[in-house]
Amino acid sequence: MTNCAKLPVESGDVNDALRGFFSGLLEQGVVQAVFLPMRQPDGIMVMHTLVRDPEHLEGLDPLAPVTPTSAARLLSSLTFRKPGYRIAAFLRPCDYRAYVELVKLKQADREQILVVTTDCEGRLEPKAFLELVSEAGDRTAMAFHERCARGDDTLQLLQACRVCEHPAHEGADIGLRLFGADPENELVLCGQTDAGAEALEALGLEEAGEPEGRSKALQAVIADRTAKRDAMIEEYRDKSSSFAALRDVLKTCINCYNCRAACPVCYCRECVFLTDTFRHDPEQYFRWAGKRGQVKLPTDTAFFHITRMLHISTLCVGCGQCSTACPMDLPVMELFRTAASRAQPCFEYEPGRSPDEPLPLSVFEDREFLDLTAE
Amino acid sequence: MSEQEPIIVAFVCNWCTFTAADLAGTSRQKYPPNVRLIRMMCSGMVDPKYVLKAFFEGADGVLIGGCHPGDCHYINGNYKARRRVALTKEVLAQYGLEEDRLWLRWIGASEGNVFAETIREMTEKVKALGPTELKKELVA
Repeated sequence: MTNCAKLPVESGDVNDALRGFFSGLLEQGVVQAVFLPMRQPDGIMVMHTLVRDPEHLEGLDPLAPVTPTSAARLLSSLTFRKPGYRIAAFLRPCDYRAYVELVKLKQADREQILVVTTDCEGRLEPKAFLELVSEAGDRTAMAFHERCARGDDTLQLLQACRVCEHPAHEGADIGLRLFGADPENELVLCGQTDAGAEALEALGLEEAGEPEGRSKALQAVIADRTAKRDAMIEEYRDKSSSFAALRDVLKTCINCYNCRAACPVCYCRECVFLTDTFRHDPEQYFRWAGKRGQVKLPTDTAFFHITRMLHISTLCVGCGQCSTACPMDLPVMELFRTAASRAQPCFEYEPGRSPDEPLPLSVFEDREFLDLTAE
Repeated sequence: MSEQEPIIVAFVCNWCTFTAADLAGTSRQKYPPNVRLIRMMCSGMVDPKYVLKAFFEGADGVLIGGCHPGDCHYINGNYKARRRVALTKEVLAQYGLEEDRLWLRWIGASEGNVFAETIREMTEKVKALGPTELKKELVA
């Protein structure tokens, strides 16, 4: 089912058109709150904001190419107990995919959320975003779109976005079309689920078809990024083909655990790495140094990263928040996607695809992996 | 034991494989002294990080022993262990850990002989592989 509607855009102001859409959702009572990227009072940084009063949608800027922290994680802080109201949430495809994993991990609710996603051209590192804002001001989102459309490769896109083979998500309730579309003149929104189609209908918007060139443009983006992803994985398989090689990739890691804190699917309330388990007995360091002649501090660096891979590589959606959060610019996303490229096919699992597919480590078959036990 | 003797860390479930190890002892079965047993309540509670930690701390091989499918004291812990071991092998293989260093075996409480035979076989295989890269290189 695709039931599309269009929003006219006047003088290139997409935010004005989207403001009409989101305030319509609030005014028609389709939802009681919206959760979307908004310019903060300084008019510069954009952060997800929960809005109940349509009058407060002045600064909305959903297409601003930045997500300073995972929006999936932020939304789950509103929904880890089922909310008593409906929320329309604007999530980029990677954020929605991470949110789907959080739903399955019982850290978030899906039923009360109307998910609005967009065709995603990518995001900028937060600092690069601030630079673009200083050049383009209120037109930042469209300036970004124009530069993406003409293939400007000086944009500091996240590496994660360059290799992201999921620039759209069919499972969100409403999808905003950008690929092969003409957002300078009109925005096309398509209902992808019953709830999405009903929401569009309730607003009484003018009907439209899928933008003509979208399917082709989307396929081209996916093909380009998939090729880049494969090249990256090959490179990092090489770079981390032994424990010593991995140690060298991680040599500047300072054990700050920012990657863990930034990761939307690393969800444990109490992470083992923050417990006393890793507050070793002082004598232990002396014993370790005795065993191998020396011991580097902080310890447990490779252990930390590999443990994270063992815990969540099956769930990694490749959003790149880990790399953004790393103060030492380590290729955390690259290492994770490389590990995930082996772990996920092992269970034929694609994280973020659907809330109905079970988490691979929470289910089992009677007869599987029989070679493991030499049966 | 000489420097060349491999160390095998075995996480064994309380109900089956640990009991089998006990039986192997009481029935005077001989097996190499290379194994260090860690009794767990269930193979399903062997978090991959325990396996990883064992390798980082100098284990040359890790064995996880659980009940036969259908026999788990907690109904399905061993099935969950199997998926976790599959994942652990897959991820650690990326960093060059050899296939034969991580074993999962179903050894029932009455199978003391199977336990002894498994340890004999694993010790031999792991000895042939030599020390792990983690033991030789300074990786922390």
